[in-house]
Amino acid sequence: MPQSSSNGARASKSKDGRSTPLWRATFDAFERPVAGASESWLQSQTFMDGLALVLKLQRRANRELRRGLGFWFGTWNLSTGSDVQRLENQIAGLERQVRELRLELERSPGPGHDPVPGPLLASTARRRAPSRNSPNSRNSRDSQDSRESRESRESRDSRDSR
Amino acid sequence: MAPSLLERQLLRFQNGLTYYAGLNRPPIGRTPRDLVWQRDQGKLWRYRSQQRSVSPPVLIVHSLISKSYILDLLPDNSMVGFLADQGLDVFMLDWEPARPADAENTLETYVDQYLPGAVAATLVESGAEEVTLVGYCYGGVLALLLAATRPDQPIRNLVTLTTPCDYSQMGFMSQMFVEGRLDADDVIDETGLVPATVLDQGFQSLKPTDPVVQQVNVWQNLWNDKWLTGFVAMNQWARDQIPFPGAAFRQTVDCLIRGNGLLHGVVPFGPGEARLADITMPYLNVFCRRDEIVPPRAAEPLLGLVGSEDADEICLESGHVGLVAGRQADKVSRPQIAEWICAHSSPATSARPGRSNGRQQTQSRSR
Repeated sequence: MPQSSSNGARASKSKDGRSTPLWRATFDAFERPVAGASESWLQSQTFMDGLALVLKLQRRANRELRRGLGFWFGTWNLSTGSDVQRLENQIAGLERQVRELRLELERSPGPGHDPVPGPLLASTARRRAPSRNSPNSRNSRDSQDSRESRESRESRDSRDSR
Repeated sequence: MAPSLLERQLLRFQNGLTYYAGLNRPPIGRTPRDLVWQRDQGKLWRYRSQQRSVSPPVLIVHSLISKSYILDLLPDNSMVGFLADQGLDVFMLDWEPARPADAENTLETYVDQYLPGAVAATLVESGAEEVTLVGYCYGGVLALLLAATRPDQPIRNLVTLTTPCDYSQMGFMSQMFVEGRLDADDVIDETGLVPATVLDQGFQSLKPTDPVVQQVNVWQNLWNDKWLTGFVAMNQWARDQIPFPGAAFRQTVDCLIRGNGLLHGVVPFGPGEARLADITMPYLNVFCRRDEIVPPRAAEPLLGLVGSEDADEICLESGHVGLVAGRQADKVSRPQIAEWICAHSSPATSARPGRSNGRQQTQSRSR
């Protein structure tokens, strides 16, 4: 039964005891069956099969369109979005290689081996710095640095000789 | 006292101007925190607290498909803030939006590289020897795989929040990828990622009439500042999806959706497999009765699949997001989760040295 709410609007009492304006109750009365029906339709096998087919066709059409545009732009020696994309993917590939190299470096046990993977922030890294007497002391770290610089020197020399 | 009809209309007009002009800026993600570790797109945050009295620290692994500020939505509606107030030392492993360089990231990349790194950094930062691992949504899948495949990881307790297990019960989002419909590569773009728009459209499709209902809700509650702030914050998060790495998505489709590996308790992982029965630490599975993204029947089987002798579940009367950020979260879900974690933890015993840059120090205090 509709009642008058505290703010004067026509309202009805909902299950949880709060008053619902009449206009809202009317909207809900229309919306609920529509929502129920649309959700059921959306979950139906027919809809999902149809949607999958439409999405596949749309994707294929986009691909063909892009290929065609790429051909025409290429004829006039103009770059397209696909060219930029290719460059971006190449950069991403390089970044992945750098990550893999970093991982290999971390996994290779050495005198300066850091058991916690990943760059800790300065404050944490400071706390984790090995003590002077530990095997991972400054001398070990220095020896690793010198080894790395020796390796880079050697690779530079070999490149020069080539 | 409720405002009069005239007052409401004035408030409605005033709030309507700012809302429809897009000037509402809810204060999201404001709990003070420090970045303590970072690797690629993975960032580990530690939330500041004056009352860290419980050990081990809690490491929350966030989902790969949404932004983490849902767990710290508003100053008076924050999951991490609540946990920190209970004396827990809260860390969060958050994911920046995936970039093309992340396209080849597999589940193994996350479980074998990022998660162990974050766990190690949590131990270093907190001075603890173990962690309580909490996975939210898809983050729960990662947490389960870590617990199942890495017995060397110092995980004292494992908690999964609305984590899908039986993908055949996941409805529209997973049913679109069953055999014969879409393949993973049908939604992966040229960068190798699943675009955020695809995920957004998928979530929007779950409730087709929601955009209309939301506008009606806004009109009805436009006079209510607090409601409007909460709505804008929640709505912003709901549309704020992030790209998903393509390789991990292929695995999700092949192993989790089509193979339903989690429900069978065995997920192909790396050269071998991950067996949920190998999870032996105390375990809590939390799911929600009104969850439409991860329905209760999709999350419920986890309890029977893990090998833990001390395993519990909590079924709450809320939705997927309501669990962590709803109106009832502060009174119902958060206290129950915090209570279980505290019951499976100990009083913090060791204090770490404080920091000069304003960070908090762990305090030694018996519970």
